[in-house]
Amino acid sequence: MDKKSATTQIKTNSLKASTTPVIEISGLDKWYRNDGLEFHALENITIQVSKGEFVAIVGPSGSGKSTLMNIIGCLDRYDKGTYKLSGQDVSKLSDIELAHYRGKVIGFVFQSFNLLERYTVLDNVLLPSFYVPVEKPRERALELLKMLDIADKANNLPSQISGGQKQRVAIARSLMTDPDLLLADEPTGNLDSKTGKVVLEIFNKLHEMGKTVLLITHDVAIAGYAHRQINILDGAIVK
Amino acid sequence: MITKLVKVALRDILANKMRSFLTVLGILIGISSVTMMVSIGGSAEEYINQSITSKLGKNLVMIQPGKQSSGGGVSISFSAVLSNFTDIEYGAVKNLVPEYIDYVSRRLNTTALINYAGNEEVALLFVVDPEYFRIVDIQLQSGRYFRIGSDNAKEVIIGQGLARKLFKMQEAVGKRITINARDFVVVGVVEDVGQAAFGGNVLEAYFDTRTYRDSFNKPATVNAVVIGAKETVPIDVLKKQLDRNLRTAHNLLPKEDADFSITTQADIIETSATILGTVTLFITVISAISLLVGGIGIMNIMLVSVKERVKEIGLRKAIGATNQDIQTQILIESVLFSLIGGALGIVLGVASALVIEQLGGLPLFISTNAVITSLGVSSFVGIVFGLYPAIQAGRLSPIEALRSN
Repeated sequence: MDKKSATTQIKTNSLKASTTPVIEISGLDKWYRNDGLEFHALENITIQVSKGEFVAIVGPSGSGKSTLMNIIGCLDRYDKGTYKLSGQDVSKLSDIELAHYRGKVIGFVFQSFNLLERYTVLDNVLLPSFYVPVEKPRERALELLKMLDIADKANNLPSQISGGQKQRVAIARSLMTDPDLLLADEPTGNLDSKTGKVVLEIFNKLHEMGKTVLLITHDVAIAGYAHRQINILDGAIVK
Repeated sequence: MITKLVKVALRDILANKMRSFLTVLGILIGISSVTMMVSIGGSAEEYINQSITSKLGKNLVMIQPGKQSSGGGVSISFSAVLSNFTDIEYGAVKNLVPEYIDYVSRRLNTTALINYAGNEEVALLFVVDPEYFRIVDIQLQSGRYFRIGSDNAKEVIIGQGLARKLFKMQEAVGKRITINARDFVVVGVVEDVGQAAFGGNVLEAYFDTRTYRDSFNKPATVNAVVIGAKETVPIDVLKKQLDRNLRTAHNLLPKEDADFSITTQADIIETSATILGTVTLFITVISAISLLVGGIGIMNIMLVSVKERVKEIGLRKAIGATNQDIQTQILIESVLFSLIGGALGIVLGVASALVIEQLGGLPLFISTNAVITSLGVSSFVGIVFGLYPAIQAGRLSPIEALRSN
């Protein structure tokens, strides 16, 4: 990664975790209801993630980590408790405000990359700027691609690049709006271990640059890259 | 934002060229037929109005046997075809010269076998009074018209088509021809007024009424009385006066239906406009059905397109797109489909109209109203039929959408 260009592009407030919380979740509950059946997916979740932290939420399949990630990512609503994202009580936000929050405050990195196959790498990175105002979006997108060492693939289609490169494009896209929080859901799940390590190193670097990173994984080894781990099992935080 | 969405939509439309083409086809056909038919209709109306004004004269009034239709136009009934006037009606109308009328002429349409130097042709024969050429504008090519006040015996005027057939390049005026085995002299050649199917000319000839009756010993039969009204007399006043005179001549009671029709030039224009309007309406209805089918095609494709892009919609929502953003994007795609179809339809419709007008010898006319309306209708179809897929797309839950394959 070209550190010099990265530091010029990614605004950093501090290199160390500050005490300002990005995520404040307290006593959060989530039920799924279907055909009269009720399932308690999350129970009394209390989490706090401070600005600049690199935290992993670890849990096996069905533990509720994806549900938690969806709530943290403002993609889903919860039933009880409070959740403040960058100081804002999420339950008070309308659907439109939630969409703006998702675009401006959170950067998503998915396991399956979720790149648009008919768009070039550059256009994929530019996509968030369709919905959130970004100053000089093209220049920023190119800088991000350069920072992630894939500037030479800017005009390629996703089908013409490797899995690791696709995840770099997805990371570049997640950084486009300079969000407070990077939310990575099993980001190495579709990659071989070597490429996976490279991607995790990128998250580490981004954290060093001051980004708050929340990694969701079932793999304890991967969670080891984070500086703090939160274990979840059967919808509850394991102390 | 809208500019970006238009670019995105265009990119998506162009990415599936064949599917996009098939999608816009319905709209293309609908819009092109509307544009073409409205333009041709306008051109035909222009042509008919020009023809009626120039060929028939501004103050033409025609009286024919048969009931007057309620719309003021001529009702072509079986009884009207069978019945004829005699000189009674002519006499009743002639009384109005010169107070209401400048000229009046009887007209009988018949056919005759015309022979010149062994060359035989069947021609349409118009048996008229010399005044006829003062009422109806039929251009003289050579020679002269019949003389008013003269008996014009043994004289015939022929149309230029017949002149060419009989005399080829020779001068027709002064030549002797045989009509139904009797000799006549050509005194004038006039332009042809009738047109046969496929643009060919009908062979035409004119006789003075008196000459025709005397030569062939024919009874006083008249198909129509043609009147050149005085410009200073309001047409309604003249019509009332004509009605009164003819009712008296036919011994009709005031409440009895007239067994004749009085047709003014305005009536003829109105009748032709009504016919054209009906044809245009018919085509418009068919085009509307085509647009409806086209619109359903667009809706179908947009629904498929939304289904195909569920995951993409989920991603867009995750990175900041609101429900409205997604709805707008789908709606723009739908409207673009319709507008592209509409624009291509207009080009095709205008081109077809121009070609058909050119081939048909009609004045070149493109209805700008049709073009503007077509564009409006295209957008409307796009919005209406894009709305449901757009709402469906906007309502997708981002989590469900992201989970889908």
